Amino acid sequence: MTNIWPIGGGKGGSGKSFLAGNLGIWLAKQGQRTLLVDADFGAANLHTMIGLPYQTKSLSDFLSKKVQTLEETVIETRIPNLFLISGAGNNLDTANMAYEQKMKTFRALSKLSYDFTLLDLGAGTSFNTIDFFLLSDSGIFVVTPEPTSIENMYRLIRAVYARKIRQLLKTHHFRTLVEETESRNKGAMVNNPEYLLSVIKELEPEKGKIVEQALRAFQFKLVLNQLRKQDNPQLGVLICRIIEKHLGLPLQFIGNISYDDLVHDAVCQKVPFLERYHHTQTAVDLENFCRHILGARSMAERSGAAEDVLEMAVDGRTQ
Amino acid sequence: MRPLVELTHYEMLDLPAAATPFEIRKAYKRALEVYGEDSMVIYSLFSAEERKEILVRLDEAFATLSNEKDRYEYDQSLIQKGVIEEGSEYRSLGKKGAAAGPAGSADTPSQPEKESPQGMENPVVKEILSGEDLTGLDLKRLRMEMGISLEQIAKWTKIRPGMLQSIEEDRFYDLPSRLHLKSFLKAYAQYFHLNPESIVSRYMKRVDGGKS
Repeated sequence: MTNIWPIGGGKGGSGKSFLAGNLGIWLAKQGQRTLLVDADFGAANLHTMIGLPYQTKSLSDFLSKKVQTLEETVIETRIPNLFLISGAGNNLDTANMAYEQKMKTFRALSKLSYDFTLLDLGAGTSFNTIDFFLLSDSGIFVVTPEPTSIENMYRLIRAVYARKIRQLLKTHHFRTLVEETESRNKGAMVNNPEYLLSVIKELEPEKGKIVEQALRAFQFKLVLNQLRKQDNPQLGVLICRIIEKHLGLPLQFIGNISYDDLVHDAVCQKVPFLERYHHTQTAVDLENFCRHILGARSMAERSGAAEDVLEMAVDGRTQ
Repeated sequence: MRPLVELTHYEMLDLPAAATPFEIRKAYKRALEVYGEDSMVIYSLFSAEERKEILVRLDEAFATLSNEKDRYEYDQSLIQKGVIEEGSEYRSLGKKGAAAGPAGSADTPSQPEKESPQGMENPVVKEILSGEDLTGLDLKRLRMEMGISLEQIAKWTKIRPGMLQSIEEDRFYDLPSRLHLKSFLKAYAQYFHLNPESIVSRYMKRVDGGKS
């Protein structure tokens, strides 16, 4: 299975590109061939995060058929083993990618062979953002200890899981499920995955079980970024427990990453934070985060369960 | 939100079935914070109705699990339904039949047995508690009457013996913040199956009076 890690958070400024960039550099230094994909169309700047100037070559070349294959858009970076597909220079057309274009990109992405493919996603919960989560059975949610960030994170997680359920079912099937859920929960948010799951479990226990198992097999992870001294260090653990308990969705807490003004300095100087400021607590936290992702990969390779269920379901899809 | 009926009282409080009364109290307090109106943890996740529903279930869970008899019956119903395994629950009632149970082991703090005087039925205790105020000395006499050592209470309440002594000797300057003191007094009262509210308010009346 291609080892794809979507990195999202729902809110801008939570540190998605910072984490993606630093994770990419760290993995490359461990000898892992790593591809960074800037999927924050319309606001792409992952190249800047890893110290590269504005890129003329980007994903839109592939979409506009200027180049034939996705490989041709890959840029070599100054760091050995680290590659980039830039999102820079993408016009509005890319930001509002059509369904066919999106599918084409997805197919091409999952065919690329890298040890790690990290997708830096944009803010918000538009389909063009959350659909990148459909490429993988893992993913990282980045949240900061602020109500605004937490609100967007919950919205994103629900949207991703609802989309996963949609992916697992045939189109007409899903429509029936949504209608049934709507009629039962008047005025409720029907894209709440926990509602969908409980309705399908009741209507078709067999199918419900498969969907539930597939959802349980996902390895979604939460990282709490920019934790300041006055913040509650338990926040991330508690959020994961609440999601498991009340939404019935698994989410693993990776850890906290301390806030440091030096991050701002590193971004301004366009230098990798881990190298320049390796003595800081934030660097220690970052390395723990990176190590966790490296370790999670081998786990995912061992258990192909999610993949099997997914493939089965996708085969059954009408489109 | 998943239907709350799918969660047991233990799951509501994030506790194992073998949780001690002290852990239950702590978990309840923690849960009230997590589900509180200003809690960041659940920000925007639940509707107002859902949150209210959760709080009702939490109170229900705490009320059941903090009452020995109710908890025993509840545990039995869970065992019957196969939700928890027999032997994994905390048995403060049925110790006779379960010598090897978790509550029987030497280092698990346990509440006094049924045969130890039930607070209010003992005439001496009644006399001690009949006054309007409640002094530290009253608490100490009560404890002596029950034949309980400071260490025994300390073990069960997890309050250190020195602190308990300060409470019993009315050393107001050594006492912690009002909030902590109140929770200590509550734990003390609960150990003896006394009404915590009455104990706390009568003791606090003197603390507050002494300061003004």
